[in-house]
Amino acid sequence: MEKNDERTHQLRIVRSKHPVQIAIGAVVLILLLSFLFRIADNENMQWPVIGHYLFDSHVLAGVRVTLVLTIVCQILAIIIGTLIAIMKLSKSRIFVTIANGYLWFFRGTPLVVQLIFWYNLAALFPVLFLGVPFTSLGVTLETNAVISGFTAAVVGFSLHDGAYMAEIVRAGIMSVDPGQREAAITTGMTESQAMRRIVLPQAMRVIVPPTGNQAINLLKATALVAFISGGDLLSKVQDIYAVNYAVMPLLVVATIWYLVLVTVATVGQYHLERTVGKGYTRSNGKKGRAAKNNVNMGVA
Amino acid sequence: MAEPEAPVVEIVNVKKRFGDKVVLNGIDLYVMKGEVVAILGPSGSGKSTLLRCVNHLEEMTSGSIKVCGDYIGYERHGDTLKEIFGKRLARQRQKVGMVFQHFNLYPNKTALGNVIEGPLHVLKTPREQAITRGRELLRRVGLAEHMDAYPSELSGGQKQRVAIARTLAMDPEVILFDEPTSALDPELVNEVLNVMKEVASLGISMLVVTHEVGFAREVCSRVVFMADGGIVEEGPAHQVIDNPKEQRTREFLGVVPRKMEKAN
Repeated sequence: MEKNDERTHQLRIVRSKHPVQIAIGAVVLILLLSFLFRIADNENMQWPVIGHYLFDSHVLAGVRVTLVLTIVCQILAIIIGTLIAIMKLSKSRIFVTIANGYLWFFRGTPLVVQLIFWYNLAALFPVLFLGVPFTSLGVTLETNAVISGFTAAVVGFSLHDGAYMAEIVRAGIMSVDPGQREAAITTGMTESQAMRRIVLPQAMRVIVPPTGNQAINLLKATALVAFISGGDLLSKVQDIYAVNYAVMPLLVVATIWYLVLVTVATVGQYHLERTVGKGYTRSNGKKGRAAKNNVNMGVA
Repeated sequence: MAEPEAPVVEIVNVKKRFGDKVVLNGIDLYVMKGEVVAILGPSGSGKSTLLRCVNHLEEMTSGSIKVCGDYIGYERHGDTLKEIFGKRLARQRQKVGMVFQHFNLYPNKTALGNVIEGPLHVLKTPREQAITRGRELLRRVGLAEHMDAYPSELSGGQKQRVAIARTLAMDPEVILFDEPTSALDPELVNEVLNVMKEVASLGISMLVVTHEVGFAREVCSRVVFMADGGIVEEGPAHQVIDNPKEQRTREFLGVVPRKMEKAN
């Protein structure tokens, strides 16, 4: 009987080659390389000019402002966003309404307008009174003394990005199994403890990728401070080419720096995802060592 | 001359409505200290909802539930129960443990991490002590070699045993079990039932919603049969299961007596 053949010969498993994938990869690589080559060789790129301004002190000052603005505003936006998200998810209709109002306004008005508004706050409120309303208990400040291009930018970007972060955080919280909160409060945790210790850490897994997006968007949106005399990377580059007319090379300088910053952010996001993804192996319920071998998200 | 002891769980005329739908229609039930009470019944009978009202995971529409003398979720002012929140509610809940059908282990913590989370952050137990106790509890439920495993690396039966250890770590007066074995493969059910038997032998009061009639008969002192939001029959385990008085109970348990005859 023919079955003997199958038993005596060991059948070898051969991985199939993927000709189409390889072909597409090769085509993309060739196109990319030829494009890069044509750019590198191109006189109109004025590479010497780019080289000259890449580490120019004004440009570097602009990079610093862009970086600081992005980091500070993103952190503030995360804090604001988390608070708004929790308010929107609460049982209190008051909190929900406040949260919705916030989202409606700060997502509904253009960012540029918000920035210009904060910068020109003195036009509406020449004097700032921080204290108990309708009394004289508090501190009075002259608006123009407090608001600068930088502070206006910080306030503007944080509040605006905070609205988008709120929805990202809310989605993350909703992605966590409701049984997690139940288990936590059953062991005697308060709702706030359950949120802080159990739900939010798990929500991080879903929150980090879109937050990376927001941060990178913010990085480039900081260019808008040009409207409020900001001093960021793009503003500085525009200042320079306004004088020497080398528009393309200087935009390339700015582009290179933005790419560098985004690369750093992307690498940072990767490491952050690995940290918050602990425990989520692709084990499909397999036990012990078999599961550990299937890890692709960094169980430490 | 012993004073009659107060029940550990006292459920009085509890009603629950979800909109127009009546889920609980006036339930009266008590659990004495050290008792293991089983709640049996078809799905939709309201048994899980009742259990979840006991620790205020669901809010009752009317009635009262006292656990160890406290109205969980409320404070009594004369004839009214005012809702309470925050730390006070959390403190009340410490006495009531719960084991869920779908385990609800924290996936980003190891088995040991799951067990010590409560003692560390709620009871403020020193870390060394919490870990020692945690290890001991995991040993007792038979998971000594899996203390550093993540829930995704454990089988269903193992996960549920971690969940039980996690509940025990808080030293509750009463543990509520919401269909603890319903999500398990048949061969894993026994390992969990055995742990539950051991918990019963420790003298902890237990209220168990289950489909495991054999377990109810063997371990529970009393069985309650619910259907359509009400208690149909209640009594000593052997009596209700072997000789149900009500037709409805008999219909529900119909399968079991035949199985037990075959076993005998």
